[in-house]
Amino acid sequence: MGAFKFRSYHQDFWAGLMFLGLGILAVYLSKDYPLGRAMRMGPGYFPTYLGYLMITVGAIVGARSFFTEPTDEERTTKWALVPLALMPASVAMFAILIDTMGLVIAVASMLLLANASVKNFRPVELIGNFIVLLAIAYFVFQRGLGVPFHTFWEESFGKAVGELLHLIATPVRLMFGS
Amino acid sequence: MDQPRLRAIAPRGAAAAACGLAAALVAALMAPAMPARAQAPAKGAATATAADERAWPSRPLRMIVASAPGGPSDLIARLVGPQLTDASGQPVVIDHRSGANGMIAGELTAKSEPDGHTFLLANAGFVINSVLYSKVPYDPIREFTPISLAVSVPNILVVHPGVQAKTVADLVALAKAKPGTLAVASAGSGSSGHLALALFQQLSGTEMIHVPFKGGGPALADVMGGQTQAIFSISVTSFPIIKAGRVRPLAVTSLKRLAAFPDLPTVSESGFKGYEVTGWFGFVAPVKTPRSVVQRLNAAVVQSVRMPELQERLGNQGAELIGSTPEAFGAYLKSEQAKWAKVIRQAGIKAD
Amino acid sequence: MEFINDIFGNLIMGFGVALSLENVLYCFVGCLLGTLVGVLPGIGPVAAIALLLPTTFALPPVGAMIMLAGIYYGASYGGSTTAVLVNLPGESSSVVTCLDGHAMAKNGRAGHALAISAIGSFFAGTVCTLVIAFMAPPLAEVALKFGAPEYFSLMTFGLIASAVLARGSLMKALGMIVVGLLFGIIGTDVNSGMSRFTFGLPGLSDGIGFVVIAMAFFGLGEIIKNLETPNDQRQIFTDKVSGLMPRWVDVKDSAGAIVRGTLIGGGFGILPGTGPIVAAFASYAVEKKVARDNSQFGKGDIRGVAGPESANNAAAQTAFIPTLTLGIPGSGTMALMLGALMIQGIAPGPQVMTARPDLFWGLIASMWVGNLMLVILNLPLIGMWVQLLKVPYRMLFPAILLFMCIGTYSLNNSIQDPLLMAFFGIVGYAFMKFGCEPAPMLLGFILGPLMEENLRRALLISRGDPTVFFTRPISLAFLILAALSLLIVVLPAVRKKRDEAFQGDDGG
Repeated sequence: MGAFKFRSYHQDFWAGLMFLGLGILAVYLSKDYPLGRAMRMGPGYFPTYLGYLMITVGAIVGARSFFTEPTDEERTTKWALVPLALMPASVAMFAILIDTMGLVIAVASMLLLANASVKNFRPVELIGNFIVLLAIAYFVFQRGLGVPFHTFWEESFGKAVGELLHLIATPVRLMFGS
Repeated sequence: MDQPRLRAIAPRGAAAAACGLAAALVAALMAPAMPARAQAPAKGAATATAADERAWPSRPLRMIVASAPGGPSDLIARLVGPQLTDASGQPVVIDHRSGANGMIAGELTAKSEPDGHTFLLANAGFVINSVLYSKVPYDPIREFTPISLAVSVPNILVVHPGVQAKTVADLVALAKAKPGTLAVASAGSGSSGHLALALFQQLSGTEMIHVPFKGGGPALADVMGGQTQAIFSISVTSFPIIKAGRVRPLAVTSLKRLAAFPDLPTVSESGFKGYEVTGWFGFVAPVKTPRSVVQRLNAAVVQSVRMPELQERLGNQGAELIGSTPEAFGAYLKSEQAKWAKVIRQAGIKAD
Repeated sequence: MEFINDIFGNLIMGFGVALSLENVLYCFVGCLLGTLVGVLPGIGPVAAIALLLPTTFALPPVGAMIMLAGIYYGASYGGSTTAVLVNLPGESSSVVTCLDGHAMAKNGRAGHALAISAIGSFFAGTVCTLVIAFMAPPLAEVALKFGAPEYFSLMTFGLIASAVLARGSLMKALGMIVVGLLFGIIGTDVNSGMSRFTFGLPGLSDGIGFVVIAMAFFGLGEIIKNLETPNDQRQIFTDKVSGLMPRWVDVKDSAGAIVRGTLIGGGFGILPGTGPIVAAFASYAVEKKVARDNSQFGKGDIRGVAGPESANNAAAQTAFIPTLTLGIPGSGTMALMLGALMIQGIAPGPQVMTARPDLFWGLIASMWVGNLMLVILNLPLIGMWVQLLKVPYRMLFPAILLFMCIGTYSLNNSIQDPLLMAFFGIVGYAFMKFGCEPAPMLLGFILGPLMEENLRRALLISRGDPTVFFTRPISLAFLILAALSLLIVVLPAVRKKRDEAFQGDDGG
């Protein structure tokens, strides 16, 4: 038992805070759902009381950080901010590109982003990895298992690009009077 | 590629050229961020030309299915798919887009290119959603063109063998003797079984407890186990269970008796004239799909529905194979929408 | 006696069907395809079966079902392989395998974990095949006895038992269960049809997929954590790989766990929907409780792999009981199997057993053949899988990432699922940094919605009378079990011992 003290280096402080936040969010979001009674629960009953339970647990967990020194395992450690940003970003990049730009571009962009977190950039290795993974994605998933990917961009996107080129070319052509 | 629409944006003159470049820049910035499918309706008008009609089908057909693999929709898709392949000469890709009671599939179809290569295998929920939910991302009548009603699947009202009711009249009497005690299961809020129950209660003036489940299988199992007493369960699912004597059938919800089960009376002839609740599976395409392509798709669907294989797999299980004209299907969709709007309003069923 | 003779006669007929050259071939091809697809990170058994389903259409009905069963076993086992190797649970029941299986892989004992899992699964599969042959119809009746009150009590028991899983603070484990329960609420409320916590997004109205959450918390979180250490110092898997085949002492240690796991799994498996996951968690909890020295649980105790893996394979086996005898699918995979039957022109239902005895008994016999084939196929493959871990992590992690993207995308052919995974990956990493473990959260996530659904359904049917939970014997039994588990977890005296067992991880 340590003295009463604010310890931001205690994991429990932050865990409690997260629980607390989630609990408050849950109660807030449930406010519009009919509560009902214990014997005839409405859709709001479970989430609301779960929210209160979450708040209680959060308070208890968080409170503990004010009274005890953390053990080594309970001490907060440094966050890996670069991978934390890059990994979800590369997943999101794949998701955003796959439907419009097709498999090749989505996989390439994803790999580039994911690899940005690796020091000592190795281009040959990256290209090798890209080829192998693309081959698996294409032959196993798209052809073999029938996941509906476009290999390259969607036809309508291809048309859009065509229109765009046309649009860009038009004033040039008009200026030169052709 | 001749694009009069685009050329009009950039009239003669240097000032206008700058305008054009700016527009190109904006378009370039927007293009990757905006899914191509969102742009499709606007482009559709330009692309659905006579040339495209002749070109149909120029690439694989995409059949969007409004549910996950494994259910009756999937079954119908997989049985009709190969027939469509034979009829059109192009492979049919079955694209499962379950989620949001089929609304995701509906929205996706409504916004895809109306060139006849993409169409939706819709089910009863397609129309029911439009009156059940406050926010529906598509309009089943205005944003779609009907192709054909393929299969109609009535519900069968079944009870646990321990329930003291041999006929519909018995069940009504039982429900009236002890109002609010009979528990009737359903495949979920807003499912065709739920609506069948709601309409039944309205017409018979009874009060029963509606117990929704997640899917028809668990609901039927609950009735088999006797936890709940009755269910309006789709014929294809309940047929084998009825044959094995695990539940007792009281009536079928179609207007006519089933060919596969001629002894079973209809609810309509059991004192509730005109009572009809059927689930169905039919094909619709985005509204601007060219007429001639719709006709050809219709012919292919009708042909595939007449195949003996389908009769054997579905007809013998209490489904009715239809293959209607686009006009008849369109009229059916409208009448369904009006009917359920009324029932849902009266019963106060809500979903948000 | 005559009854027993009948069954033996039927079994012999079944083996006659299953052991025909072509059916053995279908079984083998199914197992192989299932394993290869199931082992892809991000592709769980449901996805694997859905994707491979069309390959069986051209076959005759018996061959198709046998091949599908092979795919099912292969995919389940392949899923466990991914759980051990890269900490990615492809289905709910593999979550438990991740705990000690992946820890073993990090200690260079991936081969042992995979081998014991294959051996345990084979034992469980053999026992449960016999159970199905002899007791399918009466067990199906038991499954039907489970109404809403029984399910609710079972879930309650499962959730309380899961607190035992926690390595660290009990309070934080409880917190994570509640987090899981809250995540589980996202989607459409079954009882009222109302959308909750969906933020107006139609894509959320069916809730978040288990695979999405599991990939995010286990897969993505783990990758980010592994990348914390810079390249040159990073060593995720030890170089000292002890042999592939388990030592005799491992087998001896695991024997009890395998038998107990089989019993637990076989029992829970007949309950539609929740069988395998509850079985795996329950088995883990039991092993941790009966072990004399449980200090290594969570750090790579082979019993923590053997028990749950046997349990989930046993459950996967007995899950066929309601499917085959009643025609009621207990899970997504079983629904797919029934769909395949219908495509073959066979109406699934109670009459399959009598109308198509060749199919029914052939399938049962091929279950055993499939299990055997899985062992024969996988023991040699283990060496190959373990080699995969030698690929430098800087090349391995983008591959895992890509498979997770494709896997989540293929769930609904929608980009929403990978996007959700990216988001929850960040949340998962945060929880991990604050010492909160994902396993109890996942159990809460799975059981929570079912618990609420059944609680409200039970009260609806009983018209608000809460005594149904105590007057129905099965329900009462589970509630008593739940109360006992609660006592074990909470009682101060026991609590103290528990803290010792955790070597003082928990100071509170």
